[in-house]
Amino acid sequence: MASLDLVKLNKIFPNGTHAVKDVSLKIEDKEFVVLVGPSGCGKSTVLRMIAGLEEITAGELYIDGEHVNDVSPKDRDIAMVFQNYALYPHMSIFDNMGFGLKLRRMPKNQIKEKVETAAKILGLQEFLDRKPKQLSGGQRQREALGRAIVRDPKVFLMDEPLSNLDAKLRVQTRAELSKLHLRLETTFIYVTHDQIEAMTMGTHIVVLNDGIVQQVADPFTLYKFPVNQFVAGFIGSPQMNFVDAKLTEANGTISVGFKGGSIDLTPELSARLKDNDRLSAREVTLGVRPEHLDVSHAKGDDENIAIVEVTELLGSETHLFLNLEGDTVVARVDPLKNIRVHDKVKVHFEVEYVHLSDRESKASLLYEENT
Amino acid sequence: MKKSLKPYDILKRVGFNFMIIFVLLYLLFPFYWAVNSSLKTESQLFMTPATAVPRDPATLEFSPTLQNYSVVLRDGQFLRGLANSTIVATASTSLALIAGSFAAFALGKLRFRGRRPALYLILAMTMFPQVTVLTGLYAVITVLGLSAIVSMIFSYLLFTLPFTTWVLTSFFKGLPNELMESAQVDGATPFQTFRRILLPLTAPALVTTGLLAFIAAWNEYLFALTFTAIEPGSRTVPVAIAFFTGAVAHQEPFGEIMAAASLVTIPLVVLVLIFQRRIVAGLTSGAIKG
Ligand SMILES: Nc1ncnc2c1ncn2[C@@H]1O[C@H](COP(=O)(O)OP(=O)(O)OP(=O)(O)O)[C@@H](O)[C@H]1O
Ligand SMILES: [Mg+2]
Repeated sequence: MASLDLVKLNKIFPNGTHAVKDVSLKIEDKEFVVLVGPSGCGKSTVLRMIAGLEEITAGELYIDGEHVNDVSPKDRDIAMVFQNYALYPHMSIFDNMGFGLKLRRMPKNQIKEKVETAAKILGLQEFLDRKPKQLSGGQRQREALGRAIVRDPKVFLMDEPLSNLDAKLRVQTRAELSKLHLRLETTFIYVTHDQIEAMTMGTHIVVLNDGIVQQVADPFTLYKFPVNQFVAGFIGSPQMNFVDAKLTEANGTISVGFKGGSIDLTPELSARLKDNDRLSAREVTLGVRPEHLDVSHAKGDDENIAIVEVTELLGSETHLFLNLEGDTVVARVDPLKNIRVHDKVKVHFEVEYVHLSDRESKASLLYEENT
Repeated sequence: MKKSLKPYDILKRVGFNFMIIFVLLYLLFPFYWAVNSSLKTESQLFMTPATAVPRDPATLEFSPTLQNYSVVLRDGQFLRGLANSTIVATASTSLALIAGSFAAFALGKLRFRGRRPALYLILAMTMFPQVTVLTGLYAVITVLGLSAIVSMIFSYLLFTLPFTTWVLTSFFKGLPNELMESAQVDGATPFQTFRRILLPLTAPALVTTGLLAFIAAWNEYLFALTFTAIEPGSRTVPVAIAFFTGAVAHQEPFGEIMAAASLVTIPLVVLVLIFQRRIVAGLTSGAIKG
């Protein structure tokens, strides 16, 4: 159990790569924090700095209020699941899981009990006396998880611990991890590039890009009020659609015009926009999630008309790839709708859910602190 | 269905096998000749032409004799030499492996200033010809008043230690860093990491370098000859053999020397046979992804 305080952490590797830039984070005790971001954005590096495996180039790190920049990993009381497992190849699964406990001089029968409980949670009971090389990739990954969960550390660090599991096992283990978090009441820091994992497990999500923290928020806020175009595009699947657009103001109504048509903003959105000056003719990017688009067969309309280029039938929903006067947008629609490729459709926007960002800075124009 | 071979392929195969046979003959002939000679009596040894197997000079019947072996095995000098060699080779090999694995762990896995110069310095130690170091070493040993056995143990480290350190360093380097990091996070001290995680994984390399160091120490002649000059009781086997006087005076005991030489290779062969099963590759498989 511990709180963490990261103050302007920086990591510059000897080869000059500036992998982590001014990362500041306050993590409360018992939180489940998820670090997400695309490959190479510095997630593992942040985690390794917390573990003490990577020297901190600049900035301060506190665990439970204690300054730990120069504390060695073994004295930080953390458990870590490595991205590439790092199992001890010459030890059985049992010994792998019990190694940390043995070093802490825990009595044998207690070790046995702990390891067996963990093995049960992870479905590894039958493999306890095997060596890592006699396991499949998924089993190895679960063993790596097991090695962490037998411990009772201040902080759990997990680097993509589910990446090698099949879909079913992943859903199962995801739930097990959430349960574990509730049961252990310990701080979890979890790295993933899978935004579904992030959304389903995290109490707080930290979105990283290029070593810079983009936004820290709970899943709902992140979905609803992304701070910039990167976060908007990263969270949600299929990805949010982005269309180049221009703002115009007439009779107190702000409308967003784009190549294939235009929409009028709701008064509520207009109000959130209005403190931005220079509204008229401003170059913006219109963002709209596939679930906030709908289509109907076009009947002589002249605005927001698109051609269906591809249909993806997923059973519970259908994804339509629409050509809106040159802009490709994806709509997520009812599978019962009778829409076929090459159909001409009218696109409906759920206007209250659209996003607008500045074309140049990519910062959201609708984002509000504390919303 | 039979595959028809092109003339070129046949040529390649024949050439390849021919080469293998040549290399085998080249390697094994000296050993074969030693064994052959060791089974001959004095008179058989002087037959012309020399026979490929021991034959009776008159009837040319196949008639080997174990007389040389029985003489050698009753020779106090030789048995003493065997014991001395065992002590010296075992001690210097163990020391080389212990010191070498520590050094290799540091050089291969820890980061510190002067690592690279240290590596090259170690390599440089092996570059001087033995004869050139000999005088200096002899002076040091006389000043320190070390016994011949101890002197040999330490001077053999001169060539076994750099070699084991180099080989083990590259081996340690090849072990995944994540294993060390994972042990650290599990709460292991650097020594525990070395002892419990990395050392077991270097077992194949330890066995291989240990064997080679042992063989080098076992067969060493120049240092042993010098250091035991005034201490004949400490002669190792190669020196003892060279000093054989034989049962008959004023006559080179060629057969006995060959018998002794054949006998001293036996421990080495046995060692290799015992340890070869432990030289297993791919011991780290399963440690990390991919
Ligand atoms: N030891 C190193 N030396 C130099 N550069 C490094 C080193 N380790 C990582 N990097 C660089 O730092 C950046 C961040 O790496 P990091 O491993 O943290 O990415 P990540 O977010 O975990 O990516 P992934 O999702 O692919 O695991 C990358 O650009 C990487 O190339
Ligand atoms: Mg990573």
